[in-house]
Amino acid sequence: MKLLFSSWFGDIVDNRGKEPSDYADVRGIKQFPADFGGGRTATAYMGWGGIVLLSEPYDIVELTYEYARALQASSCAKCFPCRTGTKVIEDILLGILEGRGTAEDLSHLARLCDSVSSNSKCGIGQLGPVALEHALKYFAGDFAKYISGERKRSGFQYPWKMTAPCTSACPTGMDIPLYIEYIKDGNPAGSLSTIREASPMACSLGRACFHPCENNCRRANVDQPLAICKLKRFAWDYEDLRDAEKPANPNKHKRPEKVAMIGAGIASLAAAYYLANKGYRVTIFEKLARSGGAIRTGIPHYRVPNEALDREIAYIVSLGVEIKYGVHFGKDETFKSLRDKGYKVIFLGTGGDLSKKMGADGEDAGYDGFYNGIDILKQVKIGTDPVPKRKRVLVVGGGNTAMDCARTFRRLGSEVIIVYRRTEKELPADPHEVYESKEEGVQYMFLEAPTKIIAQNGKISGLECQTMELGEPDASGRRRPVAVKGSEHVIPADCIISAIGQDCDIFYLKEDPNIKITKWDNPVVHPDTLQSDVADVFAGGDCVTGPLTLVMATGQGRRAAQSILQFLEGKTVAISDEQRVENLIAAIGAYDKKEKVSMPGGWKRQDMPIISHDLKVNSFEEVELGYSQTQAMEEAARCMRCYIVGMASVTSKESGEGK
Amino acid sequence: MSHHDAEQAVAKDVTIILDGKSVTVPAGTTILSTARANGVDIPTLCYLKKLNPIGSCRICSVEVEGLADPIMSCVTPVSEGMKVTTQSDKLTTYRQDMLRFILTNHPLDCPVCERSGECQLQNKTFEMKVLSAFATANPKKVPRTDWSLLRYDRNLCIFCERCVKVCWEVQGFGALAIDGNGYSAIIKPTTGDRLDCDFCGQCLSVCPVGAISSGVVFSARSWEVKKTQTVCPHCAVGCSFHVNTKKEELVRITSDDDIGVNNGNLCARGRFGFGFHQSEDRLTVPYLKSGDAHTTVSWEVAMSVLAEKLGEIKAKHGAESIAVIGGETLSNEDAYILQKVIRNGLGAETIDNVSNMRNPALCEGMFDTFGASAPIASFEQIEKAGSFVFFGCDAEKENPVIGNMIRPVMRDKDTPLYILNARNISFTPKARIRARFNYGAETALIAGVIRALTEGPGAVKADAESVKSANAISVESAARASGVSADEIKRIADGLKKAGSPLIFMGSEVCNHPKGVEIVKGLSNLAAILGGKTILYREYSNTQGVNDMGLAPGHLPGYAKAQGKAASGGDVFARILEGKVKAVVIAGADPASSNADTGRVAKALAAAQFVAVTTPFMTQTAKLANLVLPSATAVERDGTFTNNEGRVQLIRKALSPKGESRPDWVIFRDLGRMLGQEMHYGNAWDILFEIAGKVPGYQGLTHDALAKGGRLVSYPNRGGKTGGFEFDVKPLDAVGGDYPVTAIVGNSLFHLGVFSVHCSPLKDADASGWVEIGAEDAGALGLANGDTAQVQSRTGAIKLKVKITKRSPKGVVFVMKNDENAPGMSLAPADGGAVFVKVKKA
Repeated sequence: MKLLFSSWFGDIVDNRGKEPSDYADVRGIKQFPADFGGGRTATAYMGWGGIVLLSEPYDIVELTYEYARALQASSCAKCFPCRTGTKVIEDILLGILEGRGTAEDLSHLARLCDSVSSNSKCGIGQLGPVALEHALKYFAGDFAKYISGERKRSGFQYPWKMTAPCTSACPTGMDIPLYIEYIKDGNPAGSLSTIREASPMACSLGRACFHPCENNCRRANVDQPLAICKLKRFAWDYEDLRDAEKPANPNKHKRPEKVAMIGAGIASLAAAYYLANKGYRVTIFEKLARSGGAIRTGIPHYRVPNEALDREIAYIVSLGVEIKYGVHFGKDETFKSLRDKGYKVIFLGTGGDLSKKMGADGEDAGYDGFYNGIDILKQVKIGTDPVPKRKRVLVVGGGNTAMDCARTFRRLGSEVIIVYRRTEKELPADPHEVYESKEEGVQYMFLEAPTKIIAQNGKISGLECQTMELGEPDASGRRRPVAVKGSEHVIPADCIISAIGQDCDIFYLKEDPNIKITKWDNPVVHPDTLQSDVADVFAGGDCVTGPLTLVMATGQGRRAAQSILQFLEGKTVAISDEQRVENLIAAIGAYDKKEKVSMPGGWKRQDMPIISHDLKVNSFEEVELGYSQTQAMEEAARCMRCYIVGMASVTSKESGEGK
Repeated sequence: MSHHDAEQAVAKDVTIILDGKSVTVPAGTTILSTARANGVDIPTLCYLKKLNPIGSCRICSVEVEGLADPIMSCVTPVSEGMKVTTQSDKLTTYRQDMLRFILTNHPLDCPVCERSGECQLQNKTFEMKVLSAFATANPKKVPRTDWSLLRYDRNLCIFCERCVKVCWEVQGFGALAIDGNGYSAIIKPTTGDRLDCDFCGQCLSVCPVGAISSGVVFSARSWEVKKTQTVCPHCAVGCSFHVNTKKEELVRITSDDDIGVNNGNLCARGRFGFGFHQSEDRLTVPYLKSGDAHTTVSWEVAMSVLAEKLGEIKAKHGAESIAVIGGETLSNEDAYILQKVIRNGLGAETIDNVSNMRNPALCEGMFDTFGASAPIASFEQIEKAGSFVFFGCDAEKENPVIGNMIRPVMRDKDTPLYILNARNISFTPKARIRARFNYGAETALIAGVIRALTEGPGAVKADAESVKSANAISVESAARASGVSADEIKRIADGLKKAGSPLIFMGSEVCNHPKGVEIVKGLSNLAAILGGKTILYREYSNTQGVNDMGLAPGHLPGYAKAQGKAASGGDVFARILEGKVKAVVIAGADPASSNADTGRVAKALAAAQFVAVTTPFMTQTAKLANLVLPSATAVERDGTFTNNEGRVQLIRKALSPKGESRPDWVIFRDLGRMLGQEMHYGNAWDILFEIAGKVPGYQGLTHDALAKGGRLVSYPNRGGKTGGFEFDVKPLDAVGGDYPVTAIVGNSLFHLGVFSVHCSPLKDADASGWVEIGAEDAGALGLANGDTAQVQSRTGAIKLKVKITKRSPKGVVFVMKNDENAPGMSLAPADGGAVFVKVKKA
């Protein structure tokens, strides 16, 4: 995008002194969310990658001082150079800012920045001084003006946030380096309590998270990403399986206000956890007889065992949460009935459990042998009716649900083929799941799109498909599959599973027309606060985002809890400046895949111990056994603690001054 | 890949180029360790061998080819082909910079700093030729904080984090943490404003500067002190340390990671429990009772009274009328000479020690009872064990340094821990399973675990003898009796089986148990079935040694059976009350406080014709004695102690005996001479020479060899086959009725008999006698924390401070043993039975 200046990730674009129409493009940066509410706007940004200027007014020297101050305030004090070095740097910058600076200060600063960044333990010290160095290098004139006394402080606002590439990529905003450091230090309890600040679902996340963190792990630039996800499981298992006490809730039911949550899935459970810990009385209404939502019904036992999930939820319940089962919202209870019963807030966490149609003839004909993916996974996991034995199963789709269906039917003794309309490269499923499925003998047919289900006497005998080829990229950036004319052919099978996605069942929203609905049938909520247009109704998880990930749902649950808390305390429901900076950080990008990290590689990620191949294919036993403590500590020691600070320079639009 | 395979795969070698030379080390080795193993020096400040590398000082930086910035050698493992440079101008500048950062605002208090002369910052600054700091504009002085037995000076702190790490990794407490960020951070107790911890002082010992100092103010400069290596006089672990003396004053105890069995670890008793040696309460001259009062007498008079009285009584009533009780803090040399004089000089055979009187089958009779399977494995087994089992032991409170040995092994090897106890005893790192059993049903539980191991699919193959007794009971009935569910018993068995070769620690709860021997037999079987070993916790510094030296009625030194006159063990005090024993010599013991039914002991001592006591203090026993002989403490004499793994270690004289006090061996040598025996011993090493020549198992020990390090006694058939005992699986009958509560009497972390109560820091940490009681019982009795409760048994009643704790389950209380005025043992029946009490608000 067009910016006044950028040194982000070392790519220098300097448009100062040019007309905006002549601005050179900053290719690495796509957006700059400048609105900070209340008529305030961010004009500059400073972070580990350098300096980004959107427009005037800015004050680089003041920004640099404030940034050094933030580094010092973020320093964990656990290494000599960062703890003291950033303080010395801060003090010198303050001197310059207050008109006591000298030219020698600038060379001294450069020397200190080098010593701190070359020797510090983590990102704060290693990467923080980079922006300071950029300031000294590209804005020497601004410093000279302060030293000569020409310029005085501007008094802008400088909201900031300490994060890390992994943390920034995580929808829960989890302090990942900290929880990993606790494991490295042999303190799994400290680790779990850090995890719980962002999500109470360490058991499920540690087993079945999509782990966007690992795709943004800076260690990958050196050798392999950290096993962030599985370390989370270790922290949970340590408490769950050893002689460790679970933290009690000292505030249990200390507040009179009642909160209703619809659907005992991930979003509600997460929100309930935080509100219960604040003393509120939470009741969750669930239409099924079991809690856990998509983890319970959609994720097979061999990935998240029922018993483990039971214990995870039992703990949340023990903090003062009630779950009422068999209550169908929209029928048994309504917005009105709940409000009448004194619930101050209603949170919608109803998920998405309607199977999308794959658009093949006969999918609604009720043939024996046809299943919707999420329905059959539910039946296998918690259903009472046994699933009939099938010989040859075709699973249509390439996402994680398709993988779960395929691996489940392998365990039920079937031959399984995944039918996907693009190529292996485009498979949206977690590559690890794809790998495991192949290990277990699942076969693949790519570039095949179903057109018709073939049945005889109501029993499926095959699936007619068209051969596809890849055309131009679509909105998602993946190349769109195009049918090859006349390529119809039949793949024989006695069972077909449609696993191409889910929709949300939001019929209950008819009751209240004030809650708007998106074109994908999701309730409209504020993207940051998750409050709907009706003040006491909030929503989060799959019913808002469409079928996404566990970690997104639990992140939204936490976000919703923060907003609900503001609402219950009578405050304005709004996001904080820190959260705005978080959005800014995410927009500018916290992770540079191309960065050359000065760290020796070759320290291999720990292998996950798993059960035998025999047990894998012939039972639903949990496949992964979890790390031993020694393995977990070794793996955790690989973490480079890439903490970073992002800071915005915020001015008021009218005056150009901070408040 | 299974976990097992993963471990196998790790054992590869890696070759790197270190300063131009090719070196090969096992994969996973850090660059620092590689360098040190190859004689290349890389400077460090925060690094400590026993801790996981911390990486805070950033001084151990090295350059790796291809990388822009230096990396820290302590935290970075080698990788194949890596080219490492350890010395360069760039590195020197950076290393100096790190010190400049630390010296920024570091007070130049060296002239008055306690650590001066042994300060590692001082040394590094000098060594690395750093002449200036990076001055900062805002120096802030923070007042020193008083942490009871410790003090913290934030201004001197360099935030190396050693204290934080040692407290967590080695002590398992986590009492300290960095609080706050950046330059204003501070090391703060996690226990609130006040530090409320084990006061082991590990933090003090690892602090490289003067930031953490002792609450017992160091009254010397480091270069003025003389350091004498010796062994701790308190419990049976046998920790080595240095006694620091300035002229004739003991100024402090320091530890050293490179000596003894304890790897530099000490507990509060070891580190702060030294004040008793030079206490004002020490006896300095002999006392003789005339009428009701003691008057001072000369040694000449005292010794002739001793010899004459014993001679007189022997002549009149025979040798059987003379009894001897030895304490478990006597050295081997004291004990050897004592028994020799009494046996050979007086012909008496009523010789005993306090722990043997309580449980002879686990002391003098150990090798008769267990033969080759004596439950005394060495600490080396800790490294080798497949799992740890704490059975009836509180590893954080009794013999605490064993916990320090276990934690790093759990850290590095993930060795699983199982805790089985009658109370809710915990440990950090956490146990895989902690099972609380009903007191008295120990053997049933053990049998249940053995059954679960040896029956059904996947059963462990075991010899018939080890399983025989266990077959009398089913897992389900074991569960009913013990209160541990059948499922849990099976899970324990399963875990132990998977890990293999357990090391089972048996604590004082077992040693003092009416069925202690049966429990040890059962656990020996359990260990045998799984190829494991057992270690029996001992109470005092030389409990093992005094038994080895034959300070017992049935056995001569080295456990040879006493011939001729029938061994007349059993209850000395009963025989005094029966009038059969007329004279008692008590050496270094205080049975009036530490033996069961202390009331009856006092009555017996009052009834005896002649009681002579050697002791450093006027104990309850001494008060009742006719003759009180002041004895020297462990730092005032040479000799040897044998710890609870059977390791003989030297104790060395660091100070002259206080006043006219004398080592026990001198007193008894002189008595021997007066009784006409040839006693040629000029010093303790002469006695050691005789022990090494005569006592089975101690053969070949020499002073010079022991000076290089302790040596394990070669007990009969040590290391042979274990297990194969019949044991009684029947639970103990509960007494109930008027005394519905089971009392477990034991030591506190800070107190262990007469020595610790004369150490003011330990008194400060744990002032008075207390009883631990569960919240439910306390609630029912209307007791609150800090109340005074009366605890009464059939034999006695004492008043104790109430501590409400999760550690005590319903119906079980824990009573502190060593309060001078309220001895816990007054509640214990003389017959060695279980202690049942009633508790009420006093």
